[in-house]
Amino acid sequence: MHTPDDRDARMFTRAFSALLEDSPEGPEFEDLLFTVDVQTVEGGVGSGRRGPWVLVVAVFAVVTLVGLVPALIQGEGALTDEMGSVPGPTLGVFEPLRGRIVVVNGEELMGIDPADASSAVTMDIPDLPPVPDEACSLWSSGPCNDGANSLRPIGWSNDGTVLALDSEHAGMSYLMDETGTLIRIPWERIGTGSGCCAFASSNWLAPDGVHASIARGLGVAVVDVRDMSIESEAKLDPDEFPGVEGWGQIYYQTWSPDSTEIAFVAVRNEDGAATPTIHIYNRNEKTLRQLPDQGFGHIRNLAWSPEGSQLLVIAGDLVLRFSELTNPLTRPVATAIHLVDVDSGEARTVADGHYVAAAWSPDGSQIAAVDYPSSHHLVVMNDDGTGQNRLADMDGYGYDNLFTGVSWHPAS
Amino acid sequence: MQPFWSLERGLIVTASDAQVYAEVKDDLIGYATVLVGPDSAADVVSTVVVRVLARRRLADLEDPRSYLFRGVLNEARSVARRHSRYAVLSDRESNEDSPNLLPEVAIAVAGLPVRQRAATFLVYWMGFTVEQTAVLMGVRVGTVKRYLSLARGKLREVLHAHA
Repeated sequence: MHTPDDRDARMFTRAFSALLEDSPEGPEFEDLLFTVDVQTVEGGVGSGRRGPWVLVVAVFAVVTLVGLVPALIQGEGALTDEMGSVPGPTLGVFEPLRGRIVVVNGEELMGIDPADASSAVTMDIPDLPPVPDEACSLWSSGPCNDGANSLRPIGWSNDGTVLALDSEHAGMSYLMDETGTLIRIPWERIGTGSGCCAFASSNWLAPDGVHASIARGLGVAVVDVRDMSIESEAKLDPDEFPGVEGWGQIYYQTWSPDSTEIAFVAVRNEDGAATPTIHIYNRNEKTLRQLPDQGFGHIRNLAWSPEGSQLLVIAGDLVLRFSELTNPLTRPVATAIHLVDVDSGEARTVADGHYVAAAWSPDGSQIAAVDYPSSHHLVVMNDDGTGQNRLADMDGYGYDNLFTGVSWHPAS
Repeated sequence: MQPFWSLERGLIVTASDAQVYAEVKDDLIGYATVLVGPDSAADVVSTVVVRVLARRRLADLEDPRSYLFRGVLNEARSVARRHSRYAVLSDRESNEDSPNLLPEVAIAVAGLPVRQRAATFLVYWMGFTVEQTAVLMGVRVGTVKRYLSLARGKLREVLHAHA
């Protein structure tokens, strides 16, 4: 007696037999290489091979930052640690962006009213300050100082007067204040860099507007951007988190709304797979904990909820190898938006799609996300995934228009 | 090992790379044919193998078959997005008098989403287990089961409609 499984198997076998009737011969190995000449070469790997991407740059010469960062960043006492939107201080050049979803559109910033997408405003980004040669990252996707203005918004200080931006084009991070002054964060002073090829924003700026987190070795460092001093560091045990030589292991960071904790993604080598885990570092208690494993194949981004209890996690089923950490991210990959409880680790999926970046509304009732099924779409939804509304289609920037970012201005 | 030097591409590869490729070539081309059609299959395989060789040796891969199969699937999905139809259909369907008309099942399978087609090919044609297929596709076992279930459902739906 034939079972349904037998019948299914026969159907598929017949189908594939027919489809393979015209299957061509596979190309010969030599034909693949278009070999012009064959010669015996002594030794090992040749110079024509490109090395893998790395996320942590080598230590560069110290760069002195004279006065600009302290002048740019407001004192800590001027900012509030309270959650939610903060009325009050003049926003200067950021006034048109008050309360709006801010994205990169080509080479300018665009502020979109979530309630009225037709009233989008655009804002030119100042010219990038020159990058010292010794600070140009070895792995940048393009040269530094080539005139390309390829910034994307990362996140805001709580009072909405400081905007963090990344230029993955050159692997650089910047802060802009309400006067429109743009400064570069000299990560190389502490022997690290902002990384390459994540292709979407990762919010390293603390809501207090003074501290930042940066991947450093097998962990994250908390840095006071006023003087680039390292306040503290979280380190993972390399025995528990084996990697692959030449590949970074720390990705995507997000700060708690009270600026006391940092959540980040670490990947470890499990039989060649880059298995992701989520970790939370408390800078006051100097404690590091790992959230229970959710079984995600790969994690694309994190965003801490404004009320502090949940992590928005963009993740997909696709299991990546270290060498694939960047390649699949250059093309649309199925990912979903999940909300994970920061204490229990319980997770629920709120939206399926091809998401690459997301930001919470200041009151935590909505999520703005960049969906990338074939090109970049800005989508807004309720925090439970309902009420999805496509607000805009955007141009990415950089090669193949891949880089993108989204943030939500905190002031009402 | 005696390497080959490809002057045009600046690659150095070895006889071991050639051997690894020879062992998987036929399976790769069959896989690519099912995913993108016979006209594009060789291009997909070439693109994937050369891309891999530009960064590492095939012989150094822990599991070259899985690695290359995943690469072919990823590339096939890129090709599928660029073309609106599975290539093999356009030639066959246009010739209604051809004695070699594709059976309805083949048309139905060719119309499946690429990942469902990949999963059913690996399980029903290549004979891999669900667990092995998960590794070859770079997804979890539950995901493969879902693809198989969706594909079976779609096939039955089509056959029922034709009955």
